[in-house]
Amino acid sequence: MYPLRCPSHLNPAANMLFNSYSFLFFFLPVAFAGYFLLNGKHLTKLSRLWLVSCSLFFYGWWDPGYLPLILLSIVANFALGTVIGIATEHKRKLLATGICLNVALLCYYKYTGFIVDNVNALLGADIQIAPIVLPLAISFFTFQQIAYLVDSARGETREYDFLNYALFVTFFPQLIAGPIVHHAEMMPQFRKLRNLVVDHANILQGLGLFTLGLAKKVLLADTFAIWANAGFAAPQGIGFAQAWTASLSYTLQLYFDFSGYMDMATGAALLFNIRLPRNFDSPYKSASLQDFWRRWHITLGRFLRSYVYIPLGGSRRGTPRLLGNLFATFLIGGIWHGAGWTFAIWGALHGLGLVVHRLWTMTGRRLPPLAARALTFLFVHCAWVVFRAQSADDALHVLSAMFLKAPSPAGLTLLPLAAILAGLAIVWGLPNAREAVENNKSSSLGATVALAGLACASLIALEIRNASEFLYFQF
Amino acid sequence: MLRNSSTSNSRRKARRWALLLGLVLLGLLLADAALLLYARHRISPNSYVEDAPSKAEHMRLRLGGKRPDIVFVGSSRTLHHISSAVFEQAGWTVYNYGISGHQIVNYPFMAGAAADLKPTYVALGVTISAFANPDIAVPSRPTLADLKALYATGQPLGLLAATTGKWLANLHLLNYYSQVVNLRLRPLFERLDVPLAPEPRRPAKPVDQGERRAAPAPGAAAGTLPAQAAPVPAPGDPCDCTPFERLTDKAGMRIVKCTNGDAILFGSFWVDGKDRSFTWKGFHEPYLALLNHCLDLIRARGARPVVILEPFHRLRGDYDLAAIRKAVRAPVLDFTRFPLPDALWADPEHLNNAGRLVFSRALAEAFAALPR
Repeated sequence: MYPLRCPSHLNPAANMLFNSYSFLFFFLPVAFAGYFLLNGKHLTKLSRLWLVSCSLFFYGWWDPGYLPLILLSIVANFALGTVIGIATEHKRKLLATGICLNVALLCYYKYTGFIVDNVNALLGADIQIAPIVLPLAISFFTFQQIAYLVDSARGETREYDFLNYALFVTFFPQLIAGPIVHHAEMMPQFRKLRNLVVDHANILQGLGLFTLGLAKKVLLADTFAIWANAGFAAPQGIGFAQAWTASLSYTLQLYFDFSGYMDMATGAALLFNIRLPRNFDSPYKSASLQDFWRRWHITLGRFLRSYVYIPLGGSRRGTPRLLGNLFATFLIGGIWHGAGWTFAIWGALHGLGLVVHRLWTMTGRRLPPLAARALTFLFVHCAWVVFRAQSADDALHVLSAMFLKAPSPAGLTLLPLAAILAGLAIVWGLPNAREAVENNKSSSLGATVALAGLACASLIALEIRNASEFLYFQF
Repeated sequence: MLRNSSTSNSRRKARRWALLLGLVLLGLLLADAALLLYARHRISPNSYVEDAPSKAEHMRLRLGGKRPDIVFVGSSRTLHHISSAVFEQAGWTVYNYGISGHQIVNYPFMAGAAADLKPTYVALGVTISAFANPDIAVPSRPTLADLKALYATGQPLGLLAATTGKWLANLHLLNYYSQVVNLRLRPLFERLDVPLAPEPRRPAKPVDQGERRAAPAPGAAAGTLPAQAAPVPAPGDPCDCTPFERLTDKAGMRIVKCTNGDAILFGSFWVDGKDRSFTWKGFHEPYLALLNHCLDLIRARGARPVVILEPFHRLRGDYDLAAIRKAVRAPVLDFTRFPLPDALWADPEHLNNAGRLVFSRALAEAFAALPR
């Protein structure tokens, strides 16, 4: 029911994660070598077919049973998009059909159990349904394809062939957990001739990003997960220090986990000369909530703005409507994250926060930069407590311990304290991974040796802890 | 000029990423080398590392050229169930070659290593349920000998592929020893996590189904669970062997590893007093083939194979012992229904300190009844 927290039907041992030896030492080298070997022989169609096959293999590794679903979704959306693109009549009806089909598929897999649970609770009914397993990445490939259909209706899709389209949806670095890529930024890259030859600069940058992402995931996120999980497992009666330890650990875990995954995805894509859009830009340095959403899960924000907020009317219909649209957009964004009330509350909190921010901006007043940053971080941090908790009650336990209990160091231990301080110093004081690898000095000998050390440490830690999954897996 | 500069820049980047990958590879090789040295250092007549080749070396060093009477080969159920001291009191020289997590797929190497020491008997420990289980578990640490045995006995393709994959992955020693390293590092991590203030009292968490529960104290009626765990012996309790390592898991179960190859569990957890149903559905032929392969291997090296059917906690159901005795090419000592009260079990799979003594005495008597 809460895939974000517990994708328990997945057997970690059987999964091919970015941070797994089977991906690093088998899948990625084979996919890379095959792609450029075929390109070297000028078999460009075959090379794209190879990449699609590799991506489907990567997807099917988890559960081959869902391969037909993703394939059907790709074929149906491509066909519909093409029809919408060339149709002169009934464009809107065709588009509405396409969107409804995609949303219905997503709702069936993601929200049926949640809806039935709530109907049972509200009406005292006892409706029983067989458990529905959420297909991996369905939230991501559904959104990407909805965008494609909408743009087809707007006449913004070009002459795309099916192979390119299939590669745009399935390209393995972004398939599982995003970023939510847009056809207009991806598909031209697959056709670009310069991208068909090995580019050493991209390989170096890609390996650098991948290494930094791996380190963020394995060394940082997985470590913070220990204290976050411990605190959120039993929030009743949690103490002041423990509540802050658990919540700050989760705030840091989520960032390092998700942005680490994105760095790995971007790095892996760069090996194939494909540039994925930026998805994180030091979000905890944000000076306002609006700024935060320009830095956190940027591609989701972009999708919600283009395909929800603007179609709802955006800021064109006066202030009350604007505020309503903002709130509705973030509520939808919250529900997209998972089938649970905590996600809806989290989305609503962000929606409300943005409404308040907008009203505050209208007054023309400004907070001092440091205070603005601190306030934004505190708000985001408290909202993550709701996001992470198993229920609204649990969230209240943690939040009340953080703010209503008398400050006391009881239960505080050295390691989480030191780690949290170090984690905050990293997110506030250091450049992010992309800035680091784009720095001129990133290809120096010293940087190469440091990266190699970091990669070794991550791989060793990975072996010892065994691969764990990314938080955003089933979104 | 521009082109030359671009080419040289590209070459420099190519050299850089090749260097990066080379250094990573070198780092991993160094980690492997360090682990190899550490494992070698750990193996002595008085200590061992928990994997089949390392414990085989410990067995060789421990016996010091002496021909043992019995070598017990098996999983954690052999490791924790055999008391070497009980056998020694009965005049037997034995070695406990049980290793946690090692099952039938690991037995070819272990049986071979045991038989190489020319003991009178090599006893393989198996459970009754394994005969009928349609799935043979993929071993986490197979050896080449195990892999060869799987191919020789025509095991299912899935098992062959998965075991081959495991074997290849284990060539990287860090992968092979990852569990061991994890076990060693965890206490270090816990020691470093110094409390800065005492922990506040928190309300007791409700007990979920499947959560560890205390066993009834000796003499208490089965199925009635007291609220508190049976008393766990304090550190320093007498063992019948010399400990070289003491571990305590999160639930409080103590494990004492001894210099003679034994390992003892103290306490009683998860023992819920419920029967465990079992339905005999005949043999799973690939399992039987693998077991007989191991028995033949032992016999071919001059030792006498024996199969021990291990005690099964609260078995409900029946099985065809006559068919097993007919199909297995060695004497079968059946302890499946050996009467052992709940208090003698550390958990539903393993006997505790008291249980292993009772079982070992009975097993020694059974061996005494076999022709020498």
